[in-house]
Amino acid sequence: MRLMLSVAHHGWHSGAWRINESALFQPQSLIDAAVRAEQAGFDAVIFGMPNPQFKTPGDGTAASVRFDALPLMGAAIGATMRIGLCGYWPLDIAEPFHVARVMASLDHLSGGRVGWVAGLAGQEKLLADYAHMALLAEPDAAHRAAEFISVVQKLFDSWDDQAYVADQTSGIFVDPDQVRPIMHSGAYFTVRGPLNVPRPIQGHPVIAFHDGGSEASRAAVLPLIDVLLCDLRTPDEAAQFRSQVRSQFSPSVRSSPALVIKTAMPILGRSEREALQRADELAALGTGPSPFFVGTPAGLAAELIRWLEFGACDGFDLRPAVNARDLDLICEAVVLSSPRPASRHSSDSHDTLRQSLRLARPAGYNARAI
Amino acid sequence: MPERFSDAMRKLHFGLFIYPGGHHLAGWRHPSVAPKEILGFDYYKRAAATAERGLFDLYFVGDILAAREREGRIVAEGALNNIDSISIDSAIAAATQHIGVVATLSTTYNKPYAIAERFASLDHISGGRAGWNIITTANDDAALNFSRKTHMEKRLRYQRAKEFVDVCKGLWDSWADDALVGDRTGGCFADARKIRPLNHVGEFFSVKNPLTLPRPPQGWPVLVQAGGSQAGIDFAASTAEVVFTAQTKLAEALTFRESVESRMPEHGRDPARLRVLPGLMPIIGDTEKSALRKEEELNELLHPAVGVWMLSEQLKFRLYDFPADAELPTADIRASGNDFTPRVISLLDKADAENLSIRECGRMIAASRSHGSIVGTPEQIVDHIVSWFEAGAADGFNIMPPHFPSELDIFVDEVIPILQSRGLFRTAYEGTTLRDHLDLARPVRS
Repeated sequence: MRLMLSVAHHGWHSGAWRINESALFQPQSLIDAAVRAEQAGFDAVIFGMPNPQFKTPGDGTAASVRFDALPLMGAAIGATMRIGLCGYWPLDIAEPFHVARVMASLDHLSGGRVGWVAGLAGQEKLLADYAHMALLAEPDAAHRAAEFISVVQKLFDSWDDQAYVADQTSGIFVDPDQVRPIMHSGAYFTVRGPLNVPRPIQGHPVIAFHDGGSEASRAAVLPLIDVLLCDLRTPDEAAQFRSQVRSQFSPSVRSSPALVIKTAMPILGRSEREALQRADELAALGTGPSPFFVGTPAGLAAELIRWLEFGACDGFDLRPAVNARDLDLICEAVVLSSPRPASRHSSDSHDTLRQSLRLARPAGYNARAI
Repeated sequence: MPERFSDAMRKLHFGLFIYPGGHHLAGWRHPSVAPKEILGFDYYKRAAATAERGLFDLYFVGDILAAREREGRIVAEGALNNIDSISIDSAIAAATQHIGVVATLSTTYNKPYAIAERFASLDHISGGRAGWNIITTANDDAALNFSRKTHMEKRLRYQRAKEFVDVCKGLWDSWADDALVGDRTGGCFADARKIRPLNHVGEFFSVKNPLTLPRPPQGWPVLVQAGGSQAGIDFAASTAEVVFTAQTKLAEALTFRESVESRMPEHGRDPARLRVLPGLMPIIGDTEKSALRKEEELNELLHPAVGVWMLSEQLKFRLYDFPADAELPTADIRASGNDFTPRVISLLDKADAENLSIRECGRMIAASRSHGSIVGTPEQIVDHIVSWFEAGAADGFNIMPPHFPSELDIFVDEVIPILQSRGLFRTAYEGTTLRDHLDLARPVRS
């Protein structure tokens, strides 16, 4: 079972900030959540995911506090040892060179623990804050998204793994035979390259895609990505979807199909009764996604296992409804559902995020050329 | 020079300019450097811890958006480019308590809403220690990595930069300082009357919404600028609170400062609110002789190809086929009609005056990357710093150790204490934000 924790300020329910235990505004709480998730054995945290519950920023009633993911990913590097650090960076408001440069940098700094959650900010956001940019409708947005991701991957591969020589004796820093421009020229991007950061420790940082509901975009990016984050309502629906993803997989492009990770917001309590009370309390305070599960940590653990054993998904992106209440209980559920003895990791070494998620390290340019 | 430069209470400010391996282009080859480690967090953290021990104001990371190439191939002998500055600075902010973190981002290749959000986030998570070094990106080849055929011309770049920064300021100001209410019972998180949409429609950008974050602790991150051209000086006068500059002569540094300050009033700005920090590469020895030997050792490590390449790049003139001992063909270079930066012009003048060879010019430009350099004992370094400081040519320096970490240790352990004993540098951090360290006012929300 692959487990990720999406961290939002206060929590994922729009009433979260109104719970007395919630700090009003505490940036450090996001980093603390990553530390807590690491202790519980999560594979990764995800920062900066969009929350559809929060409408227009500044309407006053909703605590629509959202940080840019990148500074949080950086800040979490020193606070954690082995947990994966993922950040949402919608590609319709970004440039492939920036994404490749930043993700490669974070991957080196973190010892190979980084993931990029791509997605589409969408027309409404573009029209509001990026109206100076060209606006694309489907299927163009989907084609652009796929081209974007493939350019990022080519930039990661513009350096071979051994290109960074740093030979003090000869004075050769980089072997020019192992670095090359990508000369990409496509419908949406023209990117010469090479990247000016050596190949990431993971080859490619993990690339996830947040399924925002556009079938065209999902289909276009699926052959390129490692992880698909999506909301699937029932185990049946999910199992069907997952087998569809796996049947479309072509081993000539990638070594394994994308992991299907279900996004899920549970509401938890020490007892069933307390959890139900909390769910009612939250419903009275605001709107939220319909909860994936209401109950105890043990109940949640059983539910996660049930979905997994049904073949409904490869894991979960868990979203605390109220950080101050649910984070610790979710962590308990995670320990119950997937015991990961801390001793599995020695203190002076860690797995890369790819290793934690059991994803192969992509071969480089030469493998691609053959 | 204005009276404020003789104020006995005036204190020096120091930045640590990070560069992988070190600022001397052969620094990475020094036996004390472990060049394979310069991509890892510990390398940057160690430098930050030392700078913080030395009570530096800020930690400064540059940015470049294209690989360094020679004739279409990556330069084998040159040190690595910096990795991404926001990535380094956010990691460093979380690993330090006091020091400011300045990251470099280009206004030519970014979008303002995302960048305002990024710096607001960095300022919040660092507790008010963020600075933004605003660049328009000078290297033409960056365009080719961003789906553009040519680099935007300088005049347009600075127009765009001006509008870009105005949009960011508007976004940082979109929440009033007291907008956060937190009335849990009444369901009012923030006072909507104190959060305003930007509704900006300009020549380059259209941005409607406010930020999704309260106003940053510093109001705005400290705004830093580093270009020395006329357009850059105009931009500094209108916008910059800290100017990072390459200056090698005191008189020229004074002229530079005056040229920025003289244009500040027309933008409604007080010249007292400007901090000028030239880059300075100190090479420090117990004796002058040992310092000179250290410099010579570093220069010996410099691969000859590096100097010729850097020179060709800076002069925008191909020198690879010339014999290294030939005089620099300054007449041909000047006739090329390229748009030269002041630092290149001063190099050409020096080459003319002293009949310098390509090899000599290459060494000069490669050693400190045309920034100021001072070689000597700790006392001699102090004398140099104090003379520029007291003349008003500098409020402090962006320190560029020739290599990390040992040369930074020496500066912190040998030079800083002398400045402290003379009452010219703090003996403890007094405030919490980067603005506090630099004695810059927090901007009032407009």
